[in-house]
Amino acid sequence: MNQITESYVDSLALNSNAIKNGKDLVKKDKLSKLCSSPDQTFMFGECKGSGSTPYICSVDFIKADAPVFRCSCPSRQFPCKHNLGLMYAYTMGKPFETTDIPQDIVDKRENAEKREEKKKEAVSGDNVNVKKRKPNKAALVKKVTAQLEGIGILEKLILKLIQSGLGSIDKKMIQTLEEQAKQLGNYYIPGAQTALREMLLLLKSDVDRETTYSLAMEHLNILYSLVKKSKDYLQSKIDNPDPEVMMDTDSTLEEWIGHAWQLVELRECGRVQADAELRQLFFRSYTDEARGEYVDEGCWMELLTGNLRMTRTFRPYRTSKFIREEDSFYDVLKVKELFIYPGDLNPRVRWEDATIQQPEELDYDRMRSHACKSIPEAVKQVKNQIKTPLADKHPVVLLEYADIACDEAGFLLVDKQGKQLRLADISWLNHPTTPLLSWINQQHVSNHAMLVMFEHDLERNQLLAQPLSIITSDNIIRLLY
Amino acid sequence: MSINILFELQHELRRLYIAGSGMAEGDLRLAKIVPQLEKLGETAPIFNRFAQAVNELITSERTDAASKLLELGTLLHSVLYTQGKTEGAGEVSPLVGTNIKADTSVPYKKIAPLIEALTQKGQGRLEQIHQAYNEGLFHDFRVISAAVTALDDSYAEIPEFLFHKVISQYGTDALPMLKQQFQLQGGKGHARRLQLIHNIEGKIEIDLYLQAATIGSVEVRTAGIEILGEYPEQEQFLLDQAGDKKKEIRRAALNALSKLGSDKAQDCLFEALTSKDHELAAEPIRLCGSDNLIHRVIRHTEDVLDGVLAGTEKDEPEQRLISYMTSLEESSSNELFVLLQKILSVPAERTAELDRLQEVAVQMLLNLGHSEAYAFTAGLQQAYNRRFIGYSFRAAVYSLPPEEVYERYAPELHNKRTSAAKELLRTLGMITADITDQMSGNSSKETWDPRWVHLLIKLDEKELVTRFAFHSDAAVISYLSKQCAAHPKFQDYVTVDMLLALFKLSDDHVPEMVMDILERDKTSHFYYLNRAQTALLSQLPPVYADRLRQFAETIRYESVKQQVLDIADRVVANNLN
Repeated sequence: MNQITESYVDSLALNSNAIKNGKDLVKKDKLSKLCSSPDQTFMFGECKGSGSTPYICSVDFIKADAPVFRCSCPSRQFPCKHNLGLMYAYTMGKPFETTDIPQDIVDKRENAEKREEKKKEAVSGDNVNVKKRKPNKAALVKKVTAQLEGIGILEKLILKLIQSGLGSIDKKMIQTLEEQAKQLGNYYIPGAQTALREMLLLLKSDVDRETTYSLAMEHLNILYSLVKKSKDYLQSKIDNPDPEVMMDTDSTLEEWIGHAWQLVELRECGRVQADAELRQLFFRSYTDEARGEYVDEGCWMELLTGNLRMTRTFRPYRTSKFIREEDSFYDVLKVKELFIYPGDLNPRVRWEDATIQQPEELDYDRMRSHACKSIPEAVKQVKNQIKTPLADKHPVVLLEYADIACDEAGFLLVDKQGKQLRLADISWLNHPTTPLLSWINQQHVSNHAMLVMFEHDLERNQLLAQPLSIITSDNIIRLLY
Repeated sequence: MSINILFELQHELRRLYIAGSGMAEGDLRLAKIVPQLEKLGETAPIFNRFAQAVNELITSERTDAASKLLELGTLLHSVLYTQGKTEGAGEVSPLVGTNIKADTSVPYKKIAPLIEALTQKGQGRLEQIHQAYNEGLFHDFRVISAAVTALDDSYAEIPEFLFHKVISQYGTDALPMLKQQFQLQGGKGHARRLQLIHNIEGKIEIDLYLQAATIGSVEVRTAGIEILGEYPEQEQFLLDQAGDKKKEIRRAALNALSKLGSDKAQDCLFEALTSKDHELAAEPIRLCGSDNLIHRVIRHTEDVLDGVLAGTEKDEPEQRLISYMTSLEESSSNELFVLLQKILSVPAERTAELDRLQEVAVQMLLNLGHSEAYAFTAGLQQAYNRRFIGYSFRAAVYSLPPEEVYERYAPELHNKRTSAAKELLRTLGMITADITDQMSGNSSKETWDPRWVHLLIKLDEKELVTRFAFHSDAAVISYLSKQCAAHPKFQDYVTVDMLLALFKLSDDHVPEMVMDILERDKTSHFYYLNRAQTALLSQLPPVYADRLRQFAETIRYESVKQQVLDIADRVVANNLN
């Protein structure tokens, strides 16, 4: 607890409003009776709220990397603003009286310890249990049948739309389509439902008509591929209802249909990597309207292998206040078990426990050594991926460059062989970064590595790359966030 | 080129996606493409697949056409995705780079709201920017260009803040952005950019300033001209600009010349002051602060005034004379004192055309602040039908003993309804501190003759009585108590002031009276406590804390209730100290 700093407290807060509210409590002097335990593992105090009695809040650092927040306020945010205020009061140097830990907290600590032990016992005995996890075959077949039915509805819908043409779509039609999309919710295919919603959002948007048609055409192709692929796949599941081999763990098809991979499942099919060291290369947060969720996305490099992985935290609109907003991360993360989702060049990953480490000088050279040295080679790899209809159309690649050059149309990345790659802001990210290139330091214009995200522009038949970060010999320059 | 045929095919398919696959059967344009595809298929088999798929599409039934179209479309897109161009075309030059430190260590949660505040519209942006400034977020590499771009923001406070606080701090780091974004024909934001370039680069960019001052838009020219005021060698150029057709340009030129302050510049300023540009020239002359120039203006003013008095000046000279006076505001010379005396001594029958000028003059006279000026101003007590009695009274208060002031001016209040009496009462209110300030010790002690308060009681000027109730006096207490009893309203600011005055005079009954008024008044509907009301309640002795809390419970509005409760707490604490 002695080492807690303001930025550490900032990182604990669920969102920036909570940071502001917490700091305001200290500014407005709402906290009183500030105390800490002699061994500096516990702090508590009172905080005046709108009621007549103050809230009693405390932070327990018995496990330094996972503090426990307690407060008598009814907020569902943990830590609540009172907890944050208490910690800010500490970092701002307000006087804390040293007193013993109250008895109820001592009891709670004991209980937590007991729970922890039980959990450990459960886990050690769990290995046997995991194997026993047997899905109900009949229920599975029932579910897959429903999914197949849903996909069938989607197929009819798409074919009908194509038959009458995009030109025939009017407001009323979109309304009916929206209702049908809603009905797809009954068939356990949320992924396909989202894909349809995405297209409907596009048709509803007020982008100019010609662009809308071109984009809708692409969307329809993807939807149709999805329908065809999943029809075959689901049919094969019904024909061969063996739960052991039922999941397709090599492609993203399950996710496209709408399966949310659980860590247990990923572990079962061996999609786990032990002891990974990760470094974040870029971060962004965007709103996915079709899903009705905020998405916090991070791109990480595995220091050992150079593989680029993505993390995505989904925060549904309604509960977004209670889920931690992710943020840019500057240290090295050591992960015991890295769970890897089925995917392409940049599969999604997750982890449960991680420890933080200061980055080392060597890391930068290690990361740069993983950069792709030839632009044509990277482009080939990217094209190979994006030609598949259901593939991730926006792969991220780290490229070594000899120079950054400019021509009339903008910037180009040039590799050692003089091969060029057009740099531009892509529509998928919706956040310009190329203008920043004009201002980068002269030390960084040549012989470094640049992380880019690709996008194919069908209209102009160009494969574009948007710069995200530059890795120099001692720094990561983040052009995005 | 085989790829072109794919684009042609894409174009035709797009047409069908829009028109509907129902139109595909026997489509002539598609049929035309088939032979070409087949020919290409001889060398690359993929074209055969296209040819076959197109054939199937145009020969299929209406019901099948949809899936055929989608299949063909998907295949085509897959192929097109592998054909994207990545190379640049035409001449390429290497990127030069800057000297800006590439610091990008501010995390998303902090920097994203700042960049949004700088680049988007909406409420609460200024606060966000202030906060970010205090947290030192502006050093981040990604913010610099956004901050420079935001100089064009229509919410004027944002560019102003950036101009003064942020971008000057960047120094040379902001220079490349400023130069790149700067447009000669731009608006206010570009004028700011030019100014900032000058602040950073100084004389190095003199050609740019000259160019801006010559061919820029009005805003940019103005900024350019004002910058050139710092360079004596630009004198001739600035003199030329002072004759420009546009008023804004002339104003800028005069400002610049004022900074320059050379002999020729002074001549030009004087000339402008005596022309139709007198209003534009007044301020620059004032700021120039040249004694010689002031001397010339005073002499000229005297000449014009003489002309007016002699009846030789035509076309409404008063406005011009007022401009002259404005340009003289900084001066405290004796020459000016003589001039002001002259203005305030013109015969009464000529004041109709000079009354505003006289008003300006008497104010300036008072501002001169020396004893002779006070003596003269005080002497204006009865002049011009007592029009300047307020100024005269002030001058007397500043310079004469209290008794004499009372004896000279009290008779003027004999009849409260005369305009002179009203003016005098108003002045009394203006130059004394109100009771709340007096109680909090925020006012300097002024000595007044003790007779004033009794005179004011006689005149029934309640509020003024509270200002002049300096010493405990039975008559004053009795008057105030009676008046409070007659107007027992907590919302009446005069009553509150009178109660405060009673506290000041240490009247024993007043706490009870305050509580009584509060409890009887039944005004549970107030939305805020003003300064005086807060001060009044805070005066209550600790024994009233409980009654005050009880009263607070009857207040409907939550924040006021809280305020009263806080006061009750403070009242108790008073006792402890």
